[in-house]
Amino acid sequence: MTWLRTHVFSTDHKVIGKQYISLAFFSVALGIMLSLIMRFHLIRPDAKIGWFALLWPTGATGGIMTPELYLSLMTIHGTLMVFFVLTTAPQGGFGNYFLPLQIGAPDMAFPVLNMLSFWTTFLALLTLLAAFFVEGGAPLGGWTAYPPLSALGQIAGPGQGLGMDCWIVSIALFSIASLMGAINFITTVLDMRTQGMDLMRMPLTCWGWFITAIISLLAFGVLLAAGLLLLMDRNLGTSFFLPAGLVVSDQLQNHSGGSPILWQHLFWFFGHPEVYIAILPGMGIVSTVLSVFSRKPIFGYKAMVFAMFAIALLGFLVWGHHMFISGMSPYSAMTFSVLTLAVGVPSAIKTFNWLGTIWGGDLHFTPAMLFALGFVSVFVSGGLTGLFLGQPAIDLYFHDTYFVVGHFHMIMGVAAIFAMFSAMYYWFPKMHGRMMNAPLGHVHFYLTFLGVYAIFIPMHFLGIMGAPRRYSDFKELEFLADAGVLQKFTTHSAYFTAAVQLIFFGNYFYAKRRGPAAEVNPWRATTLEWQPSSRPEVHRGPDVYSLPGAREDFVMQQDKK
Amino acid sequence: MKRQTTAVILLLIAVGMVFSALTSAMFVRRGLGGDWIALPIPALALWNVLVLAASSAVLELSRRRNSRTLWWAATALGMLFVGLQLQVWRDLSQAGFTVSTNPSSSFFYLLSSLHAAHVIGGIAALAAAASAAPLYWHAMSALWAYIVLLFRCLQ
Ligand code: HEM
Ligand SMILES: [Cu+2]
Repeated sequence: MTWLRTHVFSTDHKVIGKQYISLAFFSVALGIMLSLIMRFHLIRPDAKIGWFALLWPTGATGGIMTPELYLSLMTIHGTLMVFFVLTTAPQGGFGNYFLPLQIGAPDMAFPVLNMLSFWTTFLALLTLLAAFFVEGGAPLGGWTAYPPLSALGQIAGPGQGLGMDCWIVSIALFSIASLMGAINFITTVLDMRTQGMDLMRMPLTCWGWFITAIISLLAFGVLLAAGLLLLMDRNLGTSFFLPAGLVVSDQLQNHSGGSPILWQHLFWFFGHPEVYIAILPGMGIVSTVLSVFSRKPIFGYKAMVFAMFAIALLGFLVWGHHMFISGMSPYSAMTFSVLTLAVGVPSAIKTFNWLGTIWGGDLHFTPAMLFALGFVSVFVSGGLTGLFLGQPAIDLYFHDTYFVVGHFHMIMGVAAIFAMFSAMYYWFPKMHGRMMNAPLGHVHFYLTFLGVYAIFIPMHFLGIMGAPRRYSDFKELEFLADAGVLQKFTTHSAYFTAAVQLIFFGNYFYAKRRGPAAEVNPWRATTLEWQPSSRPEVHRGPDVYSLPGAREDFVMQQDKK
Repeated sequence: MKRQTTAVILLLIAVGMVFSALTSAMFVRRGLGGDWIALPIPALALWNVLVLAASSAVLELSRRRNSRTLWWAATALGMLFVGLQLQVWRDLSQAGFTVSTNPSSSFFYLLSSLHAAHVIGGIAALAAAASAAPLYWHAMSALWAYIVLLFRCLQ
């Protein structure tokens, strides 16, 4: 019983943080396996694989993958990655563990609510995975579940039946869990800071979690509302998203008057802020790590906070850039475009300040630092292609091509994952009391860095050639006849990069049990989580390094002098 | 406690976002085509605005006078509201408006049942004597008035 209370149904923020991280570990491993199967299929669409038939008797009869099976793998891959990896580990995982420690709070504001958020997220994950096992299998509609096909049921494809219902219920549960988490995070920051910890003395990590929680609070309710409407269209015969005269699989559908575009508005009003939910905690972590391993204060702390708020605000005003080809008025498109490009300003401020932070610093290239630098690199590479996609005239061509797939994997997928690696290498000593192996960390970084560029840069070229997204097979497309080499290169890079992650997992699990014991403050950082006493009083900002004439090259936040 | 008040305000913001999203969906859906039929809202739905308002007033009084009895009276009025809402739905379906009859009735059933679910949560909070429950409760009264007003305006 006590074991259950301390390790499973615990209300301790540290345990819950670790639970979120484990959930994300599981999801990312599964998500990567699915992506490898997809990449394999893309270069060998006719291959007969015995175990496909075993796993998916209807989706891969005789071992040959159907397009529907490909789409269902893609849907679960995207959903796992966006929701169960990028929205859980950076916020629910590291945020839960370190926010209270960094602001000197005994725990989150509502420990029981915190536990409920985790278990609701867990239930959401089970519901999503259940989609594989219900009749018809997992849904086909991608992580965006566009109607009309998502609103019609089985007739729109095998996974669009029960599998789609599983997806919607899973996402609704996930939204509720995220809302509970957001309320907890915001309240903790507002009401639980220790003496002297003014808002403007919080480490930027806390600002990242705080602003992410604000975005979640405003965005997830909209997704929840959209999900309810979709469920009603599917199961109660309403017509929110379904127009009249729709003929699917040769059958006239009994709906009238609705519009699938309405879903797109609701979904993307959530969807764009969601990408900031995924990346803002990472921005906070990277800021801290760059500062610690440059032994310099953050360059432009206030500007960093301001930029995060600006990104959050603009994030709610740009959803239309996902819908340029939906037939919107060119005036709206223009407005969305200008606002989208405006996000470049705070993003550039952040990048400039990260460079300013390491400029002239005493750089220590630990694995955490390398991944933070890698984050800046992929954030810039991924951000630049966003400038293309943000313009209606260019997006007309690029929309739904592999250019988009390359873009969002870079800026959202890889950047956020790099931030998580950085956080893991940085906080491992605090979380597990041991050190991870640094040389292995270096190898892991350099190979991963090469690997992700090798996977995702070619996708941009495929997109420029016109390769459409969400296709299981390109052989019929003559204009892509020359793209075979690129496809093969991408797939083999994916195998390579996935294999490299075994180095990380090996290092992680070994260090957890056998790693050398860690000192209390191995990186000589200044923030509160690195010192043992509870509820300290705080006397300064988070990043005082390299004071001339000081005994040490850093001053802890709670030290008087 | 201060943090419970903070949390309830945040919760109300989140709930507000759900209902704003549904409201804007409703305006868009109504503007889409000619198939929107004005919904004959049962008179009981209007009376129910008063029931919840009365409940809020009694709750406020109970706070001022520090009276347990009034607190329970407010809670009982909340339960009465839920009971009467069931009758509202019955009246509506007897008038021929079910969930799928028309987008107006679809939205009405959705908004009112979502609101009722939140009221039931509020009743639980009142029963548990949570310190920040009154704030939430007043917001739920206001929300029902808003929903009724919305449908009146879209006649
Ligand atoms: C080894 C790393 C990865 C590989 C090889 C990979 C590969 C792929 C492939 C092949 C697709 C399908 C594209 C299509 O058919 O249109 C895809 C879609 C997607 N991936 Fe990944 N991926 C990886 C990691 C990630 C990560 C870290 C994220 C986190 C954001 C992510 C998010 C997505 C999303 C959101 C989609 C779109 C699904 C949809 O169209 O609905 N992926 N990925
Ligand atoms: Cu966007």
